[in-house]
Amino acid sequence: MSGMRAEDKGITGQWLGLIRAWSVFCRARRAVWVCAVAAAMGLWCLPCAADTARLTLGVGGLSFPSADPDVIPLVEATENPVSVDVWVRGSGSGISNLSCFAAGDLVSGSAVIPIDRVSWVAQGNGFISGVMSKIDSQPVGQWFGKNVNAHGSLSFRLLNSWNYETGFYTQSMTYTLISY
Amino acid sequence: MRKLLVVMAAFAVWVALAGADMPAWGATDQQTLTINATVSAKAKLTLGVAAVNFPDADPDSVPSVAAVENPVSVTVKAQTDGSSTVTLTAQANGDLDSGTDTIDISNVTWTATGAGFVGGTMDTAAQSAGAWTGSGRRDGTFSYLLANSWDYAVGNYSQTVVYTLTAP
Repeated sequence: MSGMRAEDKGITGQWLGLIRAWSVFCRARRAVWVCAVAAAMGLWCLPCAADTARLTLGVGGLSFPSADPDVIPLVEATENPVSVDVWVRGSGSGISNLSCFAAGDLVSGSAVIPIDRVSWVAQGNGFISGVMSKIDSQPVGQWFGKNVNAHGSLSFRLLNSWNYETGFYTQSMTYTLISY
Repeated sequence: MRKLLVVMAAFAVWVALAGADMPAWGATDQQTLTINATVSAKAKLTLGVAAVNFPDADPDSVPSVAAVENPVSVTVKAQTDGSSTVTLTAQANGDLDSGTDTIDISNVTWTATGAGFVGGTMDTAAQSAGAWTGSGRRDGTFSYLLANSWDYAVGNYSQTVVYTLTAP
């Protein structure tokens, strides 16, 4: 370019700039394409997520009525048995777990009934009986297979005691279904 | 193309080495269940016997006659507010009667054991026999005594005493 006129150098420089820009673009596009292929492989290689998991409880709340601890040492919830439906489609690893976790003890103002006084008895394939906990999630059910269609029930009991103060106690429980 | 093949091969090696440590995704669902429990006020009183008997005795030898059934077990159970007072009272329906003869009911006294239980003297007005704060079960005993006297007319005397347990 040393023997070229100034205007020719300007025109050539512009063309060189365009050529350089196009080269960068082509390399970038190739890189994007390589990454897309790699990501697609990752999606194919990683353990596949289940397409859908659905949990249905027969009621949104339980009620334990007041009772003489001598006559009824174990109070049944009014709503027993509570139906539970677990529905999973497309579980890649074929494992589905249902657990529950209490947000705290049963509370009525300053009065407390420890949440581990509440237990449940499970019916149905894969369903597990247990005791409520505010410390650790408790297993409620486990199923194996790509697709799950489990129907069972949970019957809740409250251990009665003369030591309970009068009041209206309440607490919430979270049931979590996870399918891998 | 060669670069693409290199990338694919490297990724395959990474997948093989990572194995079970690779992150697993999961579909999830959650539901909330609210638990409610009602505890209403209750009171339950249990006496170990339904009757006590004072045997005949020489007033000089046995100035204070103990009931044959002593000590009588007493169990108090209550569910109440944490700051409320649970009370136990005893109230006689009259004097000890044997036909037209009477022995003043105040000649019958009792002693108590157990936290919250108190001794006293029988009366036709309610007398405190125990007091506690809050819910729970309490166990104690009552031992009954009859002040003896040469002034008592012979006979079989009887009277009822009502024990009342209150949990607000």
